[in-house]
Amino acid sequence: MRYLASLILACAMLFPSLAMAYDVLVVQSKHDPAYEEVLRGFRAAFRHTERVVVLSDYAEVDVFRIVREERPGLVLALGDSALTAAKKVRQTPVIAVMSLSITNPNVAQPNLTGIGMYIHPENYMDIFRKLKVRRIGVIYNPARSGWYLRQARQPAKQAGVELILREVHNPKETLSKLSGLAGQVDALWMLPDTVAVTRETAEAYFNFSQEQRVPVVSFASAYLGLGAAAVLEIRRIELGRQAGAMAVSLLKSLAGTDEIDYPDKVVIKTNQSVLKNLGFSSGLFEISGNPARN
Amino acid sequence: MQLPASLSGFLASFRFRLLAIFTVVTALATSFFVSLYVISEIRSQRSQAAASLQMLAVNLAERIPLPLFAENRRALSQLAQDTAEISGLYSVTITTRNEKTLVSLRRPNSVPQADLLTATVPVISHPMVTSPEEALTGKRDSAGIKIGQVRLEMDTLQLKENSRRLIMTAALISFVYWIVVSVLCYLALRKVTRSFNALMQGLRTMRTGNFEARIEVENADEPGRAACAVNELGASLLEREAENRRLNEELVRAMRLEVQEEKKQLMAKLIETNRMTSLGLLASSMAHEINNPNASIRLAGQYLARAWKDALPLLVETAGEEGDFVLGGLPFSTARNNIQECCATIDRNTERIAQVVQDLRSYSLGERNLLHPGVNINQVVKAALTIVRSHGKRTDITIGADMNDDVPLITGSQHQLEQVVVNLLMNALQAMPDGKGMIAVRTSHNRDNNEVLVEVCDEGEGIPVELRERLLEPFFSTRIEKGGSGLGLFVANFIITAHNGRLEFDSVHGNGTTVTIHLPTKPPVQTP
Repeated sequence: MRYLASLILACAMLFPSLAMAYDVLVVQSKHDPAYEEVLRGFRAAFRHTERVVVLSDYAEVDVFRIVREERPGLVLALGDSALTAAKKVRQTPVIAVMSLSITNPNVAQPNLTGIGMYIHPENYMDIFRKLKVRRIGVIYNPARSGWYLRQARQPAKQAGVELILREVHNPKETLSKLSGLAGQVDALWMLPDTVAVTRETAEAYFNFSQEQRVPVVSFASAYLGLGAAAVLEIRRIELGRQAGAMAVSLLKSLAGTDEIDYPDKVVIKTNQSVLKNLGFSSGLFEISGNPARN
Repeated sequence: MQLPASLSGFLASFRFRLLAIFTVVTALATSFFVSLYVISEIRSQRSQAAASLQMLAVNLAERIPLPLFAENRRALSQLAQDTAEISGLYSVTITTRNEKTLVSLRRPNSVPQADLLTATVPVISHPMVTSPEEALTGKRDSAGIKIGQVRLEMDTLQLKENSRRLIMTAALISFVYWIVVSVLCYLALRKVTRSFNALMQGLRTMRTGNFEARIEVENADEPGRAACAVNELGASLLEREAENRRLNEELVRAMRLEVQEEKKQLMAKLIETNRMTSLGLLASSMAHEINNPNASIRLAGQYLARAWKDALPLLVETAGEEGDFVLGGLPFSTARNNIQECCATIDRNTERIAQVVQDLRSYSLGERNLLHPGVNINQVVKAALTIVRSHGKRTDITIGADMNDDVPLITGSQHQLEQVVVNLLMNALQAMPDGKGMIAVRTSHNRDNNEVLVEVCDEGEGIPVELRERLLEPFFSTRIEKGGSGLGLFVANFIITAHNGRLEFDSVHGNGTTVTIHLPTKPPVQTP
């Protein structure tokens, strides 16, 4: 009798787990074509079973409880909100993509890995070399982009580029700092720093570009139309593939890692009109669209 | 006095009325359209000012997002100062999204709020600019976000001054336009109404009776055609006036002749009337003179009759004894009856003389003849025949009487009716040509109409048609010159009418005349 009761209890606990079992819990900040594109790349690189939870569909989602009850092998967080929600999970590996805050030092934790939105500095240095600019002005928030600029020092030195750095601690400082760069730089490097670049201040970069006749090199093609001379843009589907490969590696090794990778595949896009107006040759970036260096 | 009269004439003229109407209409229309223009222009100016102010505010709002976001008061003040230098801008206020005022520039002079135009524009971040998150995900919010607002106020005093200047200019231009149009209108009306004035002048001349004047026809317009018509009318009136003058002269001449003729006839009638009056007086006096001897004759005759009556037996006895003897040239046997008849004749004729004299007196004194019942019309006719026959012997004229014995008695005046029959017989006798012919008198009874008829027929000249209507007029006679009074038929008709009867004439000119007396058998009502 004791054995029968133990068997029934085991079945009751096992069957739901079997019914709900899947490999990856996908936590998505909201419905967005960009996230879907990344997810398609992820699925292409990693054959798996998954459950997708879109946070914007619910008032409140307890990701930790879902992971505890449903025991997925991996959590894929798409976006900053998803990362914030997934950070409560400590035992299951979490891969975060499409998040600007993943590179914050205070976000790091042992089971958290992913791919940041910062592109390897050498890719930018290639652009600066081609533009033949030496003094590069950078507005940044030390808490968000300090680590990145520290990594950029060496490539910059190798490329013969001098980074003129200006720290800002709130967005309102950006304008005055930009004014202070007048006449001191040959180009502006716009980072995906949410303090240095906001919706209200982004225009100032391009006004500066027009007034000082210096090119702005940015991180998203959305800024090309506003006056950026060149951008390095992440290919989202490749970002998903890179995350899928990272998931395969994680599940095979079953070992946690807290490293944040740079995106593998990026493309250079330019605004030929801006380049022409600023006096640059239109043939500088004929290889535009080819994968850049990792 | 001359000036007000001419002025009042001008004020009442067609030209002035047209001019007044046109100038008033022109003034009203000009005022109306100028008012519309001024109102439209003022609204347009105000609208343009508001649009300009709005445009300034939008322009400023587009220039300040970055300094506003950075709360750079210095840059904002400079931009606001640049904007405030625009003429008429009273104040510039820039506030943050949290209503925190960063810049407030205001002119020192105080202007009432009602005289200010206000434009408030939100300051929106560049809608094309995206945040890093949006840039990385490719999403874009095109609405932008509000980061503050700009409020501009414009002083409308200058606008009011412009409006006042516009009104003055429009009023002056419209007044000059009105004056020019009125003068041109007067000149045009003066030319157009020249025909009217010529027409009126011609009519005034004709009104004074000068129909020989002719209106000068300048144009073939309505007044010109009216002038032609008036000229024709004047010519026609001139001819009519000459014709009237001629007819008037003829009339006066004819009236003069007629008056002379009538005067002559009237004098003849007056003379005749005077003579009749004298005859009446003579008859009245003669009646007195005749009545006395007549009464003596009658008394003598009656005495002779009574004496003959007494002497006759003696004379009969004597004749019986002595044989027939001669008395008065006749044998007694013959004379006895003749004497008796002579006495009766004396008595009857003296009575008649007395009656005639009495009637003559009554007629001359105007006494009324009373109607009596039981009048035999045959007796009346016989008495009239006796008078007419005794009036004069006319051997070539035969008077025949046809008496109907069944004629009923009537009510009337024996002597008046005799007078009527006598008058008719006398007219018949006088109508005979050459004093020859036949006169017939008939009495009869018309039972259908209960009338007694007396017809007097002659074979005379007849009555001309043109004279028949005048037969019963007093003093009308074709024989006035021959002593006719013109009263015979008038009196006869008067008497017969008094008897409720009537006279009828049936005459064919040249074939005689029949006069019929209709008398009713019922007694006429006597008036008191």
